[in-house]
Amino acid sequence: MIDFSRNVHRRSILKSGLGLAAGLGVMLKAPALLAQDKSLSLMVLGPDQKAVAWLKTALDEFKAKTGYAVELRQSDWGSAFQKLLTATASGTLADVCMMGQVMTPALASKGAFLPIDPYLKSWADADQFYAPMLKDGTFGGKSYALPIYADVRTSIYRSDILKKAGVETLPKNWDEFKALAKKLSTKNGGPLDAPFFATQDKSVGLMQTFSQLLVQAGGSYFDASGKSILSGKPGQQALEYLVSFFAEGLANPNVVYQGTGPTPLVQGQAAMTLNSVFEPRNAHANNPEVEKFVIAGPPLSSTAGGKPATLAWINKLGISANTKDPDGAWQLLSYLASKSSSEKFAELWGGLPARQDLKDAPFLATVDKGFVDATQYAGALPTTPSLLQIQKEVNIAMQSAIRQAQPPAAILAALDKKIDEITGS
Amino acid sequence: MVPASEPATPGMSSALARDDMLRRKRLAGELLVTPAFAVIAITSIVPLMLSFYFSFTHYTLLTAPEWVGFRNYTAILRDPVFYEALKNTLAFAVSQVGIGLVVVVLVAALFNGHLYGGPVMRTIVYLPQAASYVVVALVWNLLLDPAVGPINAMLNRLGFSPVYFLSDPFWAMPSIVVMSMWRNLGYFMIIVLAALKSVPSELLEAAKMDGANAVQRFWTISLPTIRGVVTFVGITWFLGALQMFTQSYVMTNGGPVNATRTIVYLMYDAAFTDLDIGRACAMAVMLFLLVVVLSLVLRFIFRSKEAA
Repeated sequence: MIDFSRNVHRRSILKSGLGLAAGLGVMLKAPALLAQDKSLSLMVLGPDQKAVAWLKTALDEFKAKTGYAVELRQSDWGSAFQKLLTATASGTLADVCMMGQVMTPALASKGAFLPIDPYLKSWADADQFYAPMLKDGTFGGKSYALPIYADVRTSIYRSDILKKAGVETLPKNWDEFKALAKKLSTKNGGPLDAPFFATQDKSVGLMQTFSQLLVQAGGSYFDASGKSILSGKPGQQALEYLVSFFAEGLANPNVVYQGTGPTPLVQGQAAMTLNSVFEPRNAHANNPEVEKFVIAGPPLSSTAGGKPATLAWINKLGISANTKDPDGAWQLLSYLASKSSSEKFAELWGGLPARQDLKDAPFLATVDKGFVDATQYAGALPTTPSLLQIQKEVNIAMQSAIRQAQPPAAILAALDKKIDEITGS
Repeated sequence: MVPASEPATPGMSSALARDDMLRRKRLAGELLVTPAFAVIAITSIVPLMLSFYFSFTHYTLLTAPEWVGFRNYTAILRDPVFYEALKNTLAFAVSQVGIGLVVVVLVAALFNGHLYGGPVMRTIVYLPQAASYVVVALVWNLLLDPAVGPINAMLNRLGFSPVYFLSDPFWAMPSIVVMSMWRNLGYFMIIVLAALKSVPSELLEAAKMDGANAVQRFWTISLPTIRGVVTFVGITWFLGALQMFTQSYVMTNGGPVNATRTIVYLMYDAAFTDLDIGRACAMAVMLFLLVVVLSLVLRFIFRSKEAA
C-alpha cells in the first residue's frame, strides 16, 4: 500500500504537474509540428458517399497543383448551422466552408467570414455567375461567399396520374393550377383525396412554398426601410391562395414528409407540388419506376398572362475570418467554384449550376428541362441576418394558417409584428 | 551540539511529527479529490454559474456578452409561445408519469407473479432502455408513419382512415408520450419489481390464509410496502420528463404548430436558431428553478403522507 504521508511532497506534486503540462503541450502541438507547411481545411454539408469520393479526388488534384493538403470535414444539413456557429465561436471553423441560403447573412453579420471582394475583382470567372446568385452571397455591401449550386423551385407533377385524368397541358398560372387540383380530386371524380402537396416537412418546407407564392404575387418580405410587409396585398393573396387548397379539401394539412423515404408525390398520394430537383432525386432513390413520371412544369404566375416567378435556395462557399492563410483559402475556394468543380457540386448535390457557362453542362441532359428553364425566373430571399429565425416563425404561422386556426389577414399581421420585433424595425 | 531548529524535547518532536504526518495526509487527500472536483467544477459548477451570468446578458456566442439586466426574463414572460411550451412540458410530464406509474406497477406485479417467460419477457421489456432516444424515436417514426407505417396499415385493414400521429396537433403529443413510456417502462419496472420482491412473504402468506385474494393482497400489503420506491420512481421520472427534448426534436421538430414544443426545445431554438444565448440561459435558469420548486413540493407532499 502506498504511504502518502511519506511519499507525497509539494515539490514532487509540482514536478509532476509541470511534467504533465509539458506532456500535454507536446501532445497538443504534435499534430501541428508534424503537419505539412501548407494545409487547409474544408467543411462541406450533406454530401453522400459519391460526393465525398469525388471531393477526395478533387482535393488530391488541388494538392498536386498548389501543394496545399486539405482536411475534409463533413456535416449533415440538419445540424450544420449549429456546427458552423460553435466552430466560429471556438475559432475552429474550417478555412473554407459550405453554407446554406439563410446561414450566410446570419454568420457574415457576426464577422464569421472574410470579405472576398478584393479577390473577386481580379478573378475572371466572377462574371460567369448568375448575378442574383452572386448577390445572394453579399451582406452589408460586401461579398462573403460564392454560389456553387442552386435549388430552384417550380411546379412539379406526376405525369402518369395527370394522363389518367386526361390532362394534356401543364398549368401556367394559379387559376389553372387550382383547376387541375380540383380535376384530380376525388370530390370531382378524380383519383386523389388530396392532389396538392404543399411540401410540408419537419423543416421549413411550408414556408418555402408560401415564399414561392409570395414572389409570384409580386410580394416580398420587407419594404425599403426593412419593415415586414407580409400583411400587404401580395402576402394576403399568396396566403389566401395557399389556404384555399386546404379549405376546399384539395390538400391535407396533416400530410407531412418525414424526411426519409418517398415523398407524397413519389408515393402517388399527391400529383402536384411546388418543389425542386429533390422530387425526381427522391423518386430515383425510393421508387425508381416512377422517376420518369415526375416532371417539372413552368414556374407559375399569379394571373393569366402574368410574369412567372419563383425562388432559388442558393448554397455557397465562403472563407472563414479565422483562416491563417487567406490567399491559400481563396485558391481553394476559387478552385471549388471553378467551372468543372461547380458542375460536380451541382450534379452530386442535386442542384442546378450557379454559373452561366454551365447551362449546357452534360449532366443537365439527365435533369428535366423544366428545372433548368425555371432558373431564369428565380430570385432569392432577402439577405437579412435574422432569416433563420424569421423562416422558422413563418413556417409555424403557415402551419397554423393551413389548419385555418385564424384568418390569413390576422396571421400575417401577427407575423409582421413578430418579424419586426426580430429585426428591430 | 543540538541544532537550533531541532525540538528541545522528545514529546514536542513526536507532536510535530504527527502534525507533519496529518498535514501530508490532508495534502494527499486533497490531491486525490482534486481530479474529481476539477471534473465536477468544469462540467457542472462553472457552466451553471456561466448560465446564470449569461441569462442577464445579450450574447450571441460570436460577440462579447452585453449586460441587459432582467430583459431576457421579461421577454420570456411576455412571449405566448413560452406558456405554450410550459403547458406542453407539464402535460407531457404529468401524463407520462401519471399513466406510466400505473403501467409500471402493474407490469412489475405481473412479473412478480407467474408471468409466462419471466426472465425473457423482463429482458424484452427492458430492451428499449438500452437504445438511445434518437434510435427509439426513429423507429417509432417509421411505426407511426401514415403511409408506410405498420400501425396505419393495420388500421387501414380494419377499415379506418389513416391517423396522422405525428403531424396532427391532436395526436402528436400523445404519440410522443406513448413512445417515451415504452422506452422508459423497463427501467422503472425493474426498480419497482425489486421493491416488490422485498415485500415480506410472511405477510402475504398470512393474508392469503385470512382469505385475501391476489388483488387484495397487492392493494393492502404490497403497494403500501413499496410506496416509498414508487414515490421515488414517480419523482425522478417526473423531473426527467420536464427536460424532454430529443423525442420532440427527432419526431416532430416541435410541431405541428408548437404542439410538441417544450421548454428545452425553446431553449435550443433560442440558442441555435435565434443566436440568443442569453435568452436560452434565462430559460435554463427558469427551468432549473421550476425543477427545484417542484422537487421541494413533491417531497413535502410525500413526506406529509408518509408521516400521516
